[in-house]
Amino acid sequence: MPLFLLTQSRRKNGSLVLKSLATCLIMLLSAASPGFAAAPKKGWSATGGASFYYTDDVALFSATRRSSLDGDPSQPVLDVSRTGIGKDMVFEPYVRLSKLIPSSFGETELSARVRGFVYGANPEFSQAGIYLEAIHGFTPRTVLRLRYFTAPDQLLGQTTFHESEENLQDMRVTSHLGTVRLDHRLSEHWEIQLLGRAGIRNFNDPFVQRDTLLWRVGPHLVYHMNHHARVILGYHYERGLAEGRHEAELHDDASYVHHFASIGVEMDLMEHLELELDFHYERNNFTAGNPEDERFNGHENIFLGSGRLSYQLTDHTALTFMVQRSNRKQNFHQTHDHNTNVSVGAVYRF
Amino acid sequence: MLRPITIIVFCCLLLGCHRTFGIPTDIVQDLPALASVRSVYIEDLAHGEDPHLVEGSDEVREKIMEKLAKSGRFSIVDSPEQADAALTGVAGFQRWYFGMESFYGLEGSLNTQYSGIGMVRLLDSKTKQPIWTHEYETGFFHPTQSVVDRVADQFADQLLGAAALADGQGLPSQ
Repeated sequence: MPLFLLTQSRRKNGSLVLKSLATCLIMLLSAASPGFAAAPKKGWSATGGASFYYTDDVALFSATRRSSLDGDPSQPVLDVSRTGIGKDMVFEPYVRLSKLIPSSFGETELSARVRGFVYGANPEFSQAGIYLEAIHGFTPRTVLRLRYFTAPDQLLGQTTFHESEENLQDMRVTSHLGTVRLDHRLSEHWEIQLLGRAGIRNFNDPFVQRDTLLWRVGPHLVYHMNHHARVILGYHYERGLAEGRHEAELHDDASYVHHFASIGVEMDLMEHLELELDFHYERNNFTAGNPEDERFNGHENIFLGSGRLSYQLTDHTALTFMVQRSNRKQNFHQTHDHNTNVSVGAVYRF
Repeated sequence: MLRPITIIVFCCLLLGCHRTFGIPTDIVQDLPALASVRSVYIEDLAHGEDPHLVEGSDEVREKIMEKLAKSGRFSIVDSPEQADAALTGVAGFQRWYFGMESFYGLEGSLNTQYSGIGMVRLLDSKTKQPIWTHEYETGFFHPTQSVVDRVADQFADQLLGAAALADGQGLPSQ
């Protein structure tokens, strides 16, 4: 068996192991639940939910879903010329377990969350994201948040290496990201948030030159119009350094400078009905220094709009409806890629 | 096979969660005793809970007092010594959040859902024995009804309903 296939096989086994992490975490949460059933004063809370999505682009779905100020807007995707592989229905389950710990130093909340994307017609794209988070309120006006996020062995799609249209290969990436955010309420109406993020992305063997070390900084400004409406402005700068920058002969340096700007409005339309509207603009400037690299002087523009309605139906149940649309264009490919996602979902608090 | 079993077990364990805040949950409907209760003192309904775990107790207490006084069936008094019975326990609401990507904000109601909670008991002022109890029942929200109104209305309506039943049965009052 060729070494490449052996490696792929090992990777797939690794994939199973990583994907089963989500199952293990769910089992862990299950084991934890009797604890808070017996000790309701300890501040345990569990929330679970599921949404059904229609997406018109399987390869772009997860990137569009994670594109937000607190998400992962620089999640890699295939070159746009190779996306557009089709429509699908995606089931998105999630579970969140949190514990509030009051102390003389303030309030601390620890939480673990697992979210899955389960594709109906393209199950090979199914994936999980795991979030571990600690939030500490020093005072009611100042809060520090720490988060570790991982999306293991995520299939981006099939692509080729060295412009050969033969031997299409699965491109897979595992992301590990750490985020810190400091929120401070400046006045009755104004709040500032400072975000920093760093992490790595590891690609599978044929594409290891795309392994990327990244860091990101950015401020958010929140204007609280009143208790029921707020506007959020945010800008992020991110630098990604790919291994390919050291291997000019591969002509595959995916290093980049990423700019992300976002404006969002959140408001309560009625006592239990909330509307959220967001618009994002992303610009990726590729920094490949080799003129023979297809990304030399390359850039990518992404526009994304989303709207979400959530309605609390009962004490423990909320319904959600969401629409997202993104538009991607790279100057080194003469194609536009659109991605529209529509969902209905329900959330239950246990 | 492991995954479906895991999910089913997980759901069953979570559905088994029940919050009683250390208050006895035995259901008591002593209608003869309730028929004789005319004056009520309503205690602090936070019941010593952390305000981050039980919110809105003061508002719920105020609304229950308003509704009971307005009914004319009960008079609300300012001290337990003046009362035939005291309403005690815990009542309020809890916040919960479901955003996946979003950190929730410092303050405000956005990205936030509310669930009512409560277990109250009407205790005889002299004997301290429970006359009537009610545990908050979760259910559908009216689109314009706040969670505070829902919790307060439910406790007040249930107590008034039980009192009407007691009065309607012509039970002797002491």
